[in-house]
Amino acid sequence: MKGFAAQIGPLAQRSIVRTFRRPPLVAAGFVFPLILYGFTYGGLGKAATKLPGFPTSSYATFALGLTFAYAGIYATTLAGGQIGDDVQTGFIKRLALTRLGSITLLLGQLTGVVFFAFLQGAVFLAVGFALGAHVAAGVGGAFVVVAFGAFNAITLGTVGIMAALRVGSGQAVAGLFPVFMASMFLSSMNLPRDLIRAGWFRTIATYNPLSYLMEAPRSLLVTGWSPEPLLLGLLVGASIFIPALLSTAASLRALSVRK
Amino acid sequence: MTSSDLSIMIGVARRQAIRTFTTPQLVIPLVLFPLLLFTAFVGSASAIAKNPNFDYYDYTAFEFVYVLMQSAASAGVATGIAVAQDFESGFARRMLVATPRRSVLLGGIVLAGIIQQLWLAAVLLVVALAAGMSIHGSAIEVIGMFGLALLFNIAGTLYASGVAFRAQTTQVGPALQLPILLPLFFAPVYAPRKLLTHWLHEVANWNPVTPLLEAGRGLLAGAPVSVAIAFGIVGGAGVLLAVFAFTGLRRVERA
Repeated sequence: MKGFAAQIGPLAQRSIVRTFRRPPLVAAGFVFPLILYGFTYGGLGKAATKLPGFPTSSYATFALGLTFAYAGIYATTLAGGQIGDDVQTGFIKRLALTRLGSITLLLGQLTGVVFFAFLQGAVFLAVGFALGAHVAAGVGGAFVVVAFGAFNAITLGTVGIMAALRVGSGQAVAGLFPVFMASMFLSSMNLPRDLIRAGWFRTIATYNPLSYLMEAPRSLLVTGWSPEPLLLGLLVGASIFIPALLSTAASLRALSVRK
Repeated sequence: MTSSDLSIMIGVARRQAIRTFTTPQLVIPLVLFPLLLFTAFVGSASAIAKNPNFDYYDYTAFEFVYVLMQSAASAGVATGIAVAQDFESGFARRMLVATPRRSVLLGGIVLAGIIQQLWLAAVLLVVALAAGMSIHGSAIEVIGMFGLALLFNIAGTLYASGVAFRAQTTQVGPALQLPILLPLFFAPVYAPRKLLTHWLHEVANWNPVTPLLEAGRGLLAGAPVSVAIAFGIVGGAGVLLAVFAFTGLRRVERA
């Protein structure tokens, strides 16, 4: 355990420092999702809550869930971009030649992104509260909501790292961001799935994993402790994370083989 | 304008348009972004039309006008980015040397934006009609709506070109898009103004894009509203931005 901490410590520290060393990236991680939140809340807040069966009278609470899915999407760019830079500078290859385990390396690289996701979650909640949002699951639920943001960051951040290792460039990983953003627009971001009138869109949203990564924290905000959305969120997240983790570990092992 | 000027203008427009349509980084977002927004808004929020205060005849048509205006602005921005790329590659300077008059060059760039917008509008119209959109406006009213979008596109092209002439780098792309995208987002996108949340309602009241959307939606519905105001806004913006673009081009020549 001590050896693990000694290995991961410097990597985690480096990951946190470099995440916060780029102010434009940090600002974009807060400003863009809050604009999206404001746009959705402002545009649909009055009309959506009047729909029969809408689960809450506060659209500010409902829409807040999207910011925690965004935290995951943004982690793709952050984590993938950092690894992409490391691939291009040769740093990742030098690390792969050390005794550092591939999982340790991955966790170390993700630390900054996870730390950032916790910070994003706290800010998103604070803005939501200012706009009248509440957490139906109480204080404990608020912590779990923020933790879900971090879980989404680990899940999708690993996808970003996997893509960066496969492509070998951070710029190419940036191309994943619009894909995930498009997926977010095609999810249950605006209305609960059972209230989406267009059947074809409801089907897309049902098969879209981002719907579940959004609905898990949203359920804590809107309805309280409901096991189904939480379990689905965890299961969908794990089904993305585990293959991405295995693929990343394989790519890192391949880097350490002398050719 | 001489026939030589016209041929230069068409040549510049042809080159810009072909380059946009053959450069994946430019053409893919240009086409996919409005289509994605249209799909997402119509698919996810059409239940809003069930609200008793939603008084527009068709939610697909309601969102079509928004996406049409958004695509008009985006086509203008894409043209500006293409101009910035020309400066980075050095081609813009060669074009300046070869063109006798600034207005001809600017005219060609604006014409390229118009070509892109007409093409995009046609794609969007086909998709919207295939999605079941009905048109209640007369032919004149529908032409008026597309004319409004075209003027918005010209204003967008002039703004983006003005910025590109001054910055001469594609790195200005995000800064170029933000002043156009923000007013488009803080307007009546999902619902009419009276159904917006209080704070967005206040912002939308002062947002110049709001009359543009409302006039476009009114024309498509065959019940025109704020048409003169909308044409006044895009026309006035066009004149101001033409000066902005023209002075930018003059600055390039002086340098």
